[in-house]
Amino acid sequence: MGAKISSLFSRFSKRKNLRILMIGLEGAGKTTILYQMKLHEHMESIPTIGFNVETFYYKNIAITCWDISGGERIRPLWHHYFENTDGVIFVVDSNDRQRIEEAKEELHRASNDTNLENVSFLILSNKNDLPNAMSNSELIDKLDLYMIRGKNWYIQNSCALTGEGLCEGFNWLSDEILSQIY
Amino acid sequence: MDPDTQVDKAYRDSVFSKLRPLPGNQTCFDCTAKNPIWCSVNLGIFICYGCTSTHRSLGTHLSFVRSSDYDMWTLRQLAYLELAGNKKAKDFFRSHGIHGAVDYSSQIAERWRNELAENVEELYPRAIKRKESHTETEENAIKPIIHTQIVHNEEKKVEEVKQEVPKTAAVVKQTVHILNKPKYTPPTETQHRFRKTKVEETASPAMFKPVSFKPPVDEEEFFDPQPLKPPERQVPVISSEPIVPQPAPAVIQKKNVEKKGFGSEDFEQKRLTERANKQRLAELSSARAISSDMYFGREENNGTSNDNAEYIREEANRLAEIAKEKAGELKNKAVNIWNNLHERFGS
Repeated sequence: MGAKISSLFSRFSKRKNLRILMIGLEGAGKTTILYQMKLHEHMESIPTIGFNVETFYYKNIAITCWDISGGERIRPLWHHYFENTDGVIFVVDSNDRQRIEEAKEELHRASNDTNLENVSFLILSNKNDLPNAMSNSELIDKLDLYMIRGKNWYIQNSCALTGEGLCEGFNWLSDEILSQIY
Repeated sequence: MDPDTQVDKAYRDSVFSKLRPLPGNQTCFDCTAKNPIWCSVNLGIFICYGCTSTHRSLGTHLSFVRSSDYDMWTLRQLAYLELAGNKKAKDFFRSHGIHGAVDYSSQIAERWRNELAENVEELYPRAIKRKESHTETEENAIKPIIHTQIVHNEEKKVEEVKQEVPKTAAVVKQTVHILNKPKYTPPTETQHRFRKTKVEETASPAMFKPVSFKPPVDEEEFFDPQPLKPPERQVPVISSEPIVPQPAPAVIQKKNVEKKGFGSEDFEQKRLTERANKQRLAELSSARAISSDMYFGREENNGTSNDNAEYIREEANRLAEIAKEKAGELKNKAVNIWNNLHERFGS
């Protein structure tokens, strides 16, 4: 009985560590999202050269979030970070219709990587507060999300300036990862 | 050569090595930092690394930040900086009474962006010419830019445009000839209307005949000055396939608006046909969040999105009923035909 209770207790109290990778084109809002989750405030960020990594606690889960630069010369290096990743956040600038094709290519390149098999993809359609932003269904169409097979994905509207939609996204991602592990 | 293909690093560096020493470009547009290497493409200015944050937070439609060092550039993007630069931009804003910090979301900044974009449309054939002489691959230079004159002289009447047509068409033909090299990639639908029409042209081999060139049937539409404007600002480019109708049915909209995100591993059993998928996409057009499972229509097993599961179940039942009806109809028809045949030939 006591063992049962203690195992139950440890299950709820134990802090789990998740390693989450955040990728996307430059200027999509990855760094802003990272610091919105960490500090709960908006920081004007400068272009990331290299990466930022922060650990924050979300619902008793320690999330180590790697925010990798989305510059064109850094993108070929993304796959070095793919190993041992629990979940991927792909940030799309939903207001940028010109580079959506580029985003699609990068998303599919990442999703087809062998190191990311069975890893869930959270797609954040960021900057959704802007009037010309694309809707989720339009993004699904333009990003060809139905071509991603063998892994779960979830597309969530967000606005990194206010933090709107981020919690919903992280909720889904953490639930998804924990349901796979435990 | 397509103005939207990326130029190689050597060419990019050669352009920037000429642009950076120009007066005005040696200091950041917003502050006093020396030797800025970051640029705002659609404003055509050089800014420093620290000032990129304010520009990036505006969104790419107001200021599109690229690094002259870390990013790859297209000919069109380079043309923006070649045409503008810090000095010209500063002069423009000063002439409109703005001496200090510029509000990039203001009307005046919008006007600057539009004017610059229009001028760039004029410049890029010249840029292509220069690039080609730089690489020494193509001796054939593009002839004077007649089409851009048509673009920018908006007062020009339609008849005048018609008169220009044979001449212009010949130039376009030359352009196409140059464009039709293996390096050329067909533009996507989001790209310029002008080039899109050119690609349609390349499909017909008849147009390569030198003299007896007949203008295409839709020449008026082709040389209509309206669609030749830079598309990024004027028209929001939307997918050519009208898969996603904007106004969703009221009931569905209500259902989906209440939910911000939808649960996962829901409706695995019923993988619908492609058509049903598209229909589903249309139905979800107002959803705040859509997951893979929702999109493919998997059965719901946790209580988070009951509404949706119910709705899916209803929809599936409805579809099944329709299918049953259709099958019945078909069966009846088949029986009728059989009877008919039997009557005619059987006896």
